[in-house]
Amino acid sequence: MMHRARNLPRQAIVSLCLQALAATSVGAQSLSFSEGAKLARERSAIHVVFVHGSDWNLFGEHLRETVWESTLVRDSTEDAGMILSDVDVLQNPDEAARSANERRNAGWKGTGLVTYPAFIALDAQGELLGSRQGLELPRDASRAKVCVLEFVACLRLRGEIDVRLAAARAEGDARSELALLLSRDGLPLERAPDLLERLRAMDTDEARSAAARIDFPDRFELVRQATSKAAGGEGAETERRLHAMLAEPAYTDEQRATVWFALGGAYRRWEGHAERAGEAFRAAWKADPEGLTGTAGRRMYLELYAGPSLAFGWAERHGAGEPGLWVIEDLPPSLAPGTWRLRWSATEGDAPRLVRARVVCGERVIGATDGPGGEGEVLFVLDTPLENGVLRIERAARSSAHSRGSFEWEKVR
Amino acid sequence: MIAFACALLVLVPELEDAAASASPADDSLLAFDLERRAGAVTWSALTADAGGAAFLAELCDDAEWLSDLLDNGPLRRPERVLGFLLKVWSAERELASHPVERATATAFALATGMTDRDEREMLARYAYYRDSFRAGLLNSDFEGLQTWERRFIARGTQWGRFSSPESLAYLRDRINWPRRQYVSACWQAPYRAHNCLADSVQGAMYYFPFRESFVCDPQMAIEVGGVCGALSNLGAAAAMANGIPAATMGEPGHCAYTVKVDESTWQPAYSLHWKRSLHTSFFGASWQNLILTQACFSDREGVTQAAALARRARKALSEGHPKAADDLFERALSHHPTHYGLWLEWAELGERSEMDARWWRRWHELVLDGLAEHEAPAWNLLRRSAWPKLVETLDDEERAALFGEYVELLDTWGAGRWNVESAWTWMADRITAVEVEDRFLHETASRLVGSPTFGPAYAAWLHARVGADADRWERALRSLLTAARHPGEGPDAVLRRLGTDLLPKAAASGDLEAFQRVGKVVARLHEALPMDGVVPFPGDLLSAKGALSVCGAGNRYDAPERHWGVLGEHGGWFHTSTTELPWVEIALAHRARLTGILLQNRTGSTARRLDGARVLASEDGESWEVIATVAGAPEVHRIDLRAAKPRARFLRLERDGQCLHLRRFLVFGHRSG
Repeated sequence: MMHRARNLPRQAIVSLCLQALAATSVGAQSLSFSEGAKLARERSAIHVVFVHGSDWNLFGEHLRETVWESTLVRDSTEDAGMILSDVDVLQNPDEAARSANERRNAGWKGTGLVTYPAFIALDAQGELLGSRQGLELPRDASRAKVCVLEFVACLRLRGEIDVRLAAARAEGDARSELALLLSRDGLPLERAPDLLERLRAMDTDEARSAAARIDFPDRFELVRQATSKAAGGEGAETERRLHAMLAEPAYTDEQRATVWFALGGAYRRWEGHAERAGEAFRAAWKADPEGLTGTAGRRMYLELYAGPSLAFGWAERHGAGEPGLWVIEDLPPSLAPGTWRLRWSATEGDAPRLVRARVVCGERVIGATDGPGGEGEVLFVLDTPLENGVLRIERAARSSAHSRGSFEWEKVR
Repeated sequence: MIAFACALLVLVPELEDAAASASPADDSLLAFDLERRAGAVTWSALTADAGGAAFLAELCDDAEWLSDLLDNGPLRRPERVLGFLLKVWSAERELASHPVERATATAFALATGMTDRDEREMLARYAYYRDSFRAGLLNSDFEGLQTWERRFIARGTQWGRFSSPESLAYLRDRINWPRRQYVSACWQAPYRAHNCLADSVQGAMYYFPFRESFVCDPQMAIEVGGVCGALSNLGAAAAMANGIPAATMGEPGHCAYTVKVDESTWQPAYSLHWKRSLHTSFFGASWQNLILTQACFSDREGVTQAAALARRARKALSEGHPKAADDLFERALSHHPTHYGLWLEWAELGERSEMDARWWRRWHELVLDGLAEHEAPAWNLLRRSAWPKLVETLDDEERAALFGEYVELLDTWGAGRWNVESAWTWMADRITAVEVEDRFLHETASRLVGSPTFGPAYAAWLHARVGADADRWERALRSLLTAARHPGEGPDAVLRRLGTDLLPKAAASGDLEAFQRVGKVVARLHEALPMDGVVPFPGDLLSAKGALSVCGAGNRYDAPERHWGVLGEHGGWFHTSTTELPWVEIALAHRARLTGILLQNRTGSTARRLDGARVLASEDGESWEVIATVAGAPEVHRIDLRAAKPRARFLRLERDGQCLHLRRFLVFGHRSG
């Protein structure tokens, strides 16, 4: 239906909008929300709402003038057959202004609104299509304008994809339909509510994989449930379920890290499985080192299960007072050629005395030389880059059994 | 020195009069006052540096700026305050010509003197507000804030990381709302006592895994969750980030916050108790002091005039004219009696000058007059300054009379419930003869028992005070009844009357503590009801610490003295009046996740009146949701809420056109913050 609106002569749309604008009693520059919603329903058009606060939100008023009312934005939305309206939420209206404004905002339920100002797109039925607000809306007017134009372009593209989707479906072209569904889902807009259903209806591996990724549970909820069930005596069942999820090849690295993290949480609350908890948290880290659950897995692993680390130093459980070997696993994943310095100092008790320190990466071993700072400092000289190395530190006994401390690792030359 | 000055006064009283009536240009006194407050060491250190000297010269030449600095609440640790301002001024030489930036920098300087927060961080936070204001990113009300209001923003939240520059920038963009709505900004973070790994919020591991994954702590709280501490710091920080004054505050076992939602109103947010201790305050952390601060500093003309007179008083004092200073302080406070800081300063003058009882008596009267609408701060001033001096000189009867003058002040809660019981205890403790104390208690009862606000609290306090002594308690009861104009009844009738009069009042005013205490005292009139068939739901019996309000309480079928029992194991009775929509309401002591409700009906044919009654729940006492409808009229009706676990602070039972009556209305569940 939207393409029909787009094919209407532009002058006719402008004329209709002008008529509607002329009919508004408040804020004659724009349609009210209810007028916009009505027009959008009649035309099966996208309804873009600008939500602002004219008596308190200066940035919103700046965007109203420089973005919302700009020829570029007006033209691009009108070209796409979109209906524009605005909702003005006042902070300190007098009684007359309040009741006038309430009348003008009638029908507005705050759909999609998180913060002010906001550009919110609704479909003809009033369902949320997407928004630009808050952290997604630059605080600089010219960048905000680009952001809104990009938003309009996304909405327009979505409409075009919908048209092509309908055609692909009518022709039974499942391959094109899948590609279009995924392209539409890749747009920075709200996910279409029927996406999962449509993917599941398509009997192909690619569609099944996409459905699995899209159907992945909320990460915190997955971890919470796994932890809670393991604590409640359902550890084995939880382990089976999460391992089954890990066997799913469709998941992204981030999703796999989340499953490993959930498994770590479950093992941690399942008596007798502490070692596996450490392994699972480590696996989360390695699956997605930069992601949220990967980072959380690294922190849990290093803090509770691993040997000493550059991030958290050493603690009592690492037995600094006794001779032995420490393996430090959180070196930066990539080390550039040059001289790297390791320093260590105790915050409690005595620092360990090092017998030997090495950076190891497979067969490659780089030994340490004494640093200029004397005890508590060694240097490593790398001729070529080194990836995914670990630090191995052999230490001698010290008198202090209770020892804690920290490391510093930095490139000095 | 003082003695010398007093001697001089006797010799040359005209000198004093001249000092008191002299009216030197107030502007010249501003610089004098700043130098006096800064002290010689700080002043010398600043002027020794060329930049510092130029800064002070500009500041001292700008009466408006000086007044801004000196007349917007206490100036503590002047070396930090002036050091901060010097740094801002050095970087922004045009500061004085930009009123909003100047007022903001001044507020930040004053706030720096009140906290131990790192100066660099305070400078970075100031820069956030300066830049955000210039970019038009703050609420438009920020521009018109007074300097004293900006101090609340400058102080930041209790948890410093929630009001770091990064947090503020994040919150400005993420929660940019109309001013009033910040009272609900705390709910942007989910309330979770345990994180997804089942680590308690009380332990170090709750946020530990997620520390590197968010741009700032407020974002982490929004994603991971938190309890009252994180939620209240988030709510307050969101308001502050947008240039709206707010403050976090402690409550017993809880953290809440307050937002200044318009020019004159501080609205408590996520507040569960009247015992509030603000983390940002000028002269005392109580809620009542905040309201007094608002009353004082919002009257700019009053503050300016009082401050000018006070400066003259300080000048007179520095020149050895305490009498003149005394007169000037009196004039200042007569003109603007809500200035708590000046009351303290004047009292200090009285102490240093070793003023006699007559002087303190006068001071006492002026406090009572000047702070009649602020009885809690008035009490604190009198207890701290005047009464210790006066009590020493008075016998029991005179003390009782003195205290009675204060009791006369008690009318309504004014700024809200406060610990008036501690005041009654302090006064009663200082009357040594029991018979005089009892007379004082009786007279206080006469004054207060009719008050819907103080009456229930006083009766409850009185029982705690003398309840262990049967004779004294009986006399106290009689005095209460006499005061309530129901003399001549026996002890049980007295107790019944006490419950009838006071329990509905306590419930109506939301004074749960008084409701509980009076209810327990009165409950002894009736045997506990059997618990047959009453099987509790999991969790705590939440209603047992609440208060029950009944539509048409005290009607011919009702027994208000038994309302307390309805909420607990003891059992009791209520009977609403018959209206279009009869109702009863329970106010719980805190928000809770409910697990079940148990209604114990009366027996007999009228039990059917419960059929069709609706149970509603509310978190704020304003918007209600039906959570159950009673079908039939069993003797014990159980409403199992374990699956839904609705969140509520208030419960309501209502029925169309049919009165309600129950023996028990029990609410079970778990406290949810």
